[in-house]
Amino acid sequence: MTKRHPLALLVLIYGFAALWVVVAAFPFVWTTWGSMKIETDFFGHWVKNLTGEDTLRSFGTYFTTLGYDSAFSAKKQFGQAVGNTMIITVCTVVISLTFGTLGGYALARSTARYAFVLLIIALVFRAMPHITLVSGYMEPLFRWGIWGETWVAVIVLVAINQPFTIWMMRSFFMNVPRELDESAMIDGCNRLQGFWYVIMPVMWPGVITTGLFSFLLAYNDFTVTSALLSQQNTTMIPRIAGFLGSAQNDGDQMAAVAAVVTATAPLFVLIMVFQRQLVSGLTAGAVKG
Amino acid sequence: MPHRAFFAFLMPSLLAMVLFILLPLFSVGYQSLFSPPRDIETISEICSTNFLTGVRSCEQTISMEKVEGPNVFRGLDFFCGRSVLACNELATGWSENTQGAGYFWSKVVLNLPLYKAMAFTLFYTVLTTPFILALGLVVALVVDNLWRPLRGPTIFASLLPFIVTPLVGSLVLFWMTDNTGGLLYSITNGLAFWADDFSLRASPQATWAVIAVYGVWHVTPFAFVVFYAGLQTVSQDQLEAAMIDGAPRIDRLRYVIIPHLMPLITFVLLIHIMDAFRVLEPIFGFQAAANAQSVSYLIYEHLVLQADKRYGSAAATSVLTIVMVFILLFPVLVRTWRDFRIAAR
Repeated sequence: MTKRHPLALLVLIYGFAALWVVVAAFPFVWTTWGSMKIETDFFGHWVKNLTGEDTLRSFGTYFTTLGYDSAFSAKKQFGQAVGNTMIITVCTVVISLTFGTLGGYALARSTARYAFVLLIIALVFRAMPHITLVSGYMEPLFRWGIWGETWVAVIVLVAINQPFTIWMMRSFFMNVPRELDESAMIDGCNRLQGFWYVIMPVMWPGVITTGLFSFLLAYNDFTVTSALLSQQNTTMIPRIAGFLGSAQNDGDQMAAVAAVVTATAPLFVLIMVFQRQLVSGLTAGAVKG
Repeated sequence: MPHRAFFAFLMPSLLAMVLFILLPLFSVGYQSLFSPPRDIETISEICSTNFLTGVRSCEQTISMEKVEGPNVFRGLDFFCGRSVLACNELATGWSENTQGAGYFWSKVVLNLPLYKAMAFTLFYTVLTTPFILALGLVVALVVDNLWRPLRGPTIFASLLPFIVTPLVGSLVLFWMTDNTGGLLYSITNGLAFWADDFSLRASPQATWAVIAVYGVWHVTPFAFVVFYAGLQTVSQDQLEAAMIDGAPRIDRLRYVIIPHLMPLITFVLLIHIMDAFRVLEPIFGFQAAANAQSVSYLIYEHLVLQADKRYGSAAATSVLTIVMVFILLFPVLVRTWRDFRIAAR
C-alpha cells in the first residue's frame, strides 16, 4: 500500500502520535524532574514544580538530593532494598531460564499426548492470579519457620513464572527445525550434546527475550515479595508501598518519590537497550498462539 | 522424543511447578475447608462475700484458652463467611427485604465485600476494555503510518506505562493528579470542569473511574504492540485489491484490517479480562482501599494487612477466584487442545 495521505490526515496522525507520546511518557519525566525538588514544590502548585521556587529559597539551587538522601538514609534503608532486588531478580532469571530452556525444548520436541496435557495445565497455572496461591505458601512457611527468607522467595518466583517461561521458550524452539536435532544425532551427538552444541547456539535470541520477561516478572513483583519476605529482606516495590504508609506520618513523601524514580531507572535502560526483543516477546505469545 | 529424554529435560521445571504451584494449590483447597481448632472462651465466676455488709457479689472474667489439636473440618463455613459468599447475610437480607429486588441488590448485596469486589472487577473490565482495544488500534495505525525514523522513539515511549511496575505507574499518575495544586487539577479546574474541593478519592465513583483510567493507560501499550505486529502481516494484495475497487480508507479498515486482526483482538481481550482479577497495586498507589477493593485486594487483606491472618477466608476467596478464571479460560483451553490435535496429526 502506498502511504500517501491527504494533508489533513497527516496532521491528524502526527498530532495523535505526539499526544500519545506525551500521555505515555510525560508522567515519568514530571516525576523524575520533581524528585529533585523539595516537597512543597513537587506537591505544591504545578508551576512550582517547574520552577523549583521553594527549593531555590531553601537551598539556593534549583535541584536538591534531599529526597534521595532520605530514601537511602539509615532509617529508610532503600539501598538495602535495591541490593535485595538485585539478588532476587538475578537468581530468579538464571534459574528460570535454565529450567525453562530445558523444559521448553522437551515440550517443543514431544508429540506425545501427555506433553499437550502438561502444556494445558501450565496454561491454567499461568492464568491464575498469583495472590490466590499466597495462602498456600504462607501457612506452611510459617509452620516450618522459613517465612521471610530470600531463597524461599526466589524459589516461589521461579516456580510461579515457570508456566510462562516454558510456553515462551517452547514457541521459540518450535521455530528451530527438527532436522537440526536429527542431523546432530546422526553425527553422533547424544540428546544433551545435540541440545547444547547445535540447538542452543541458534536459540540465544529466544533466551534473551524470555530472560527479559523473567526479569520483569521478578523485578516488578509485588504480590509474592510483599507477602513472603521479611522487612529486612524485602525488595524495592514492597518497600515503596511501605514508604507510603509512613510518608504521611513523618512528612517525608519525597523519599517515596525518589524511591519510585530509582526503581524506574533500570527499566528505562532496559527498554532502551532491548526494545526490539520486548516487542517480539510481547507478540510471540499472541501471533504464535 | 523418547519418554525418558522428555521427562529428563522437563524434570526441573516440572518439579518446581508440582512443589510450588500444585501442592500450594492443594494447600489452599485444604485451608478453605479445614482450620486449627478455635481458642475457647472460658468464663469463670469469682464470688466473694463482703464481710461488712454480708452481700455476696460475683464477678465474671473471660479468658481465652489455647486449644491444641488436629485441624477441624469446617464444611462451608469459610465459603459462607461474611467476607466471602455471605450466605447468612444474603438470606436475612432477602427475608427482611420489603423494598424490592433493586433495593436488595444495591443495599445488601453490594455492601458485602466479595460482591462489591466482583462488581468492581466487572465495572473495571467493561469500562476499560473498549477504550484499550480502540486506543490500541488507533495508536498501532498511527505508528504504522509515521515516518520510519520516528517509530522507534514512539514505541519506546509507548512501552513505558506497560513495562513499569503497576505500583510505580499508579503512584506517578496519582502524584500528578490528586492534589489541589496538581497539574491535571489545575488544567481542568481552569476549564471549570471540577468543583473546587474535588478529590479523586472523594467518592467511590471517582475512585473507580480513576483506576479505570489508569487501567487504560497501563494496558493500551500492550494492545498497541500486539496490533502493530499484526498490521505488519496484513495482506498487501488484499489491500491493493480493495483500493482498486475504490474502497475508501474506512472500508479498508473495516473489511480488511480489522478481520485480519480479529484473533489478536480476542487474545488481548482474554488477557485483559483475566488480569482484571489481578488488580492490586493501583489500589495502594491511588490510596483507594476505602472505595475500591478488587478480588485480589480482599485476599491480600486477609493475609497481609490483617495482624491476625485469616487463612480460611483467604483460601475460600482464592478457590472461588481460580474457579472463575478457569471458567473464563475454558473456551481457550478447548481451542488450544483442538489446535494441538490438528498439529499432531
